[in-house]
Amino acid sequence: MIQIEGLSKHFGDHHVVECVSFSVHSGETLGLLGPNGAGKTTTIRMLTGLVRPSSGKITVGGYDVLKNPIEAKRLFDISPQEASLHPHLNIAEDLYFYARLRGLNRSDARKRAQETLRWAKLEEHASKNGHQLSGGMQRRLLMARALITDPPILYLDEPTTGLDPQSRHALWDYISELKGKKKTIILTTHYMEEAEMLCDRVIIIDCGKIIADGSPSELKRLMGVDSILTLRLRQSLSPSDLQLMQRVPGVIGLHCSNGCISMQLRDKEALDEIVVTASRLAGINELNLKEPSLEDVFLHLTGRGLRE
Amino acid sequence: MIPRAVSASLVTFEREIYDYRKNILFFALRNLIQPFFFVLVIGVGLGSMVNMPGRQSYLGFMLPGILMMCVVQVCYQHFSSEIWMSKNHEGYLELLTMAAPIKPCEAVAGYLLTGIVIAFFAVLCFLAPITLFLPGFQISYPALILLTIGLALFFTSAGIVVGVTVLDPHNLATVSIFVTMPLTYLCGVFFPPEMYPPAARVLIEIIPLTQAIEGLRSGAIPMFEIAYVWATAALAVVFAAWMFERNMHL
Repeated sequence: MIQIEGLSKHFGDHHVVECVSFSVHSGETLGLLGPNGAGKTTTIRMLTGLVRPSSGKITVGGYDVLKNPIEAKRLFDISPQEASLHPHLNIAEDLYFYARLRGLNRSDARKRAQETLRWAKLEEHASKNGHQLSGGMQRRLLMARALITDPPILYLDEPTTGLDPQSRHALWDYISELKGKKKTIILTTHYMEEAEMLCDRVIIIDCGKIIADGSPSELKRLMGVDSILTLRLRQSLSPSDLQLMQRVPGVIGLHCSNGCISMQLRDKEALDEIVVTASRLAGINELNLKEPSLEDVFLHLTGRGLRE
Repeated sequence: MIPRAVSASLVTFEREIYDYRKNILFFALRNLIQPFFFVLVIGVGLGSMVNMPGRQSYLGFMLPGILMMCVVQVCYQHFSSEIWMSKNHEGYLELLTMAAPIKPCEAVAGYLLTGIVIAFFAVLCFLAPITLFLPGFQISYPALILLTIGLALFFTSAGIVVGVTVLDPHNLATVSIFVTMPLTYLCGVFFPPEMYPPAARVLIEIIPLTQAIEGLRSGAIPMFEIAYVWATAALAVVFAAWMFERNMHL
């Protein structure tokens, strides 16, 4: 459905996206994950034709986005990261004119505006201006817009950023509903649980390059970690004690912060020795053993350093 | 069946006109305020002390200039601010580029059509009270229509170019002053361009507003002036479409 080959974008000397290639199959939900400035939004903007690639090719449903933008745009729509809201139009008018822009005639545009308002549970706010809505309602409005012509492909650029948990869960329900309708979705997000729950496949981008591509479970296997053990200790460990813990067979990574040590284990056979050693050295207040999450994979691949 | 390009242009027109209609009283007042003070202070007040050659009053001399000036200001100011807001504040142009199956030149065509309509609305706002209070005021309506269309296209294009290229809102106000202020005072609204030294006159005559004012004052259907205004408008439209497309992509 979507083919991207050798996509690059340079702004002067700054290489934002470098030789990215991937494809998205019909009905698939692909998550684009990456730290701030990794090139996710630039990739989405290139997919829509807003940003012209420095090199590479994008085809959507067989149409080249640069050579046949009109045909390609009929197949996709976007819920952008920034809410673009008109200061003088209420949200019913906003949806009507958006439908008109997308090519619907007046009566169909009116009908679809009402239907999508209802779908987004915004009917009672129809006469309000977009700026009078809460963050969650604005996001639902952007989703409603993206669905106004019911396109087969949707680009959702950080649809839940900055929302409270209730609004975020409501949007997850909407996205799950769209997945059920076999829409092809590209979702960019900072929330790993969101990607893990909603995406069939995840691509992790860092510094403009793809560093991992696979289903959430494949990516977790890629880490080579069976489980992650987190211990809250009674006393902090000295550097030599930490080295001792790291040398326990089966421990393949150790991270220490806020009085906790977190260890990546190759298998569970190392558990006994770790617990005994930690009890002897500092005493254990709390113990937690879990499967590695997508967030662990993400941090493993992109590092823990701040990106600004 | 309407061709896709025409219906795409009409969508932009429909949206712009809908927005304009929502604030029509505000726009009508905005259209009238400056011409009203020009007519009152300069036309009636200062004009009573000016002796014009022949029988024409100074107010009668000035009115065609004010009328054309109205068209310039309405089109330029409306579109420079509207496009700037759409691009830099509302994010509408970004959305248009990302999601609407509309070519940039089709969106520009919609803006130009809107420019012509709001120019005629400004002319109507000005002419209605003038006809009421100065029943003797005469003007060539075919010339007025053709020159209004030409000027509207030229200055809507200028507004579009400024709206898509200027980023800083302070610069937007500054550029507007540099565009409209010299046009108001130099293009023959208040005195005939013959009064300029020959070298300066050549420069002033290049500006389509000067030609439009002179053409409207001539009373008949001024073929040269209409052709000149339309030719410069055609160039401006092509330039605006090119600039719009160039600035819509990052």
